[in-house]
Amino acid sequence: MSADDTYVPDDGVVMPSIPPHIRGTVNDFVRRGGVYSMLAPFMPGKTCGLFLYCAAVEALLASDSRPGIRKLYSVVGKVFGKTPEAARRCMSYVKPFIAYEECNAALFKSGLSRKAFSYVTVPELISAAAAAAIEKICSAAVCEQADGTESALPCGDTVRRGQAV
Amino acid sequence: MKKEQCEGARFRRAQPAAADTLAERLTARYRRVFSRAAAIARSQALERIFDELGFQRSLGGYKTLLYAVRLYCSADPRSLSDTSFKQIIEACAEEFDGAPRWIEKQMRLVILKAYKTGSILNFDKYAVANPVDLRYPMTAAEFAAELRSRFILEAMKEETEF
Repeated sequence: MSADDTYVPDDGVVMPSIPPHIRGTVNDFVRRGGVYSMLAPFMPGKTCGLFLYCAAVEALLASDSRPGIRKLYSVVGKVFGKTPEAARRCMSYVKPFIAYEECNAALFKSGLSRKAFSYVTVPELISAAAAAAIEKICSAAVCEQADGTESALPCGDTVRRGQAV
Repeated sequence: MKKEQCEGARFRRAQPAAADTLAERLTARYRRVFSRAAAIARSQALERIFDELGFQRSLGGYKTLLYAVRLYCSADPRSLSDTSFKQIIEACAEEFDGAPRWIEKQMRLVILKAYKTGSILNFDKYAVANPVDLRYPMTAAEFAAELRSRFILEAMKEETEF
């Protein structure tokens, strides 16, 4: 058995499917910094960690295939000049400093206890952020349909601390 | 069987190429965003924000804070760490020929003055992460980080391609 044939499990990041009709809107959302404005309110911004998470979610949303977490680490690592392992370590270091209440409200609809939140892994956080972004876009599209008017992209809306989401 | 193996091999080869393309696209995007954010910080926009926040030019810390924010916004995000701002304060101390602690205090005094007058509330429209809380004045490092986030967001909004 050669090395190529060895099956190396690549933990898939659970990625909600993107409806084809909103693919363009998702790309616009990513391009205009929607992911960054979604993550910045609860992630410590003084280190590279925020950008790593941001790039990982953007990569997940922008890719047509569903990359596994190893591939995401390597992509994100390449973007910021780190090895995949260094990228993983950096993201893991940042995770305990994420503001629980804001992140829980924004990504998990306030459904996690503090203890459960502490068990959330980096891939789960990335996939939750991607899911939250898609949901945000879908709800904006629904609003647009209901109003019959063209609504602005949900980019740049910042969730402030203590503000209801 | 052979054909399947060939197709499998092609698929295995194709996957890293797709990842590389994605990485290249993201690298180019972030390079553009960071350079644009640094350019915004170097422009007159920063001084306009300072004026809007009621930072007094007569205070000694005004120039140092301006210099520090500009340095912080131009820093390579790869090398950012919690101690980055300390290094920037040391660079400011060298530039303005003072002790780092005094430089930091000067910056804090400028921000505190704006808190006392209440003009800091104008910062609410620029803050990306933390709104202004009059009970807890922000430090110079927090202020710089907030402004950097705002400039990065502004730069991302100007993006035309991805």
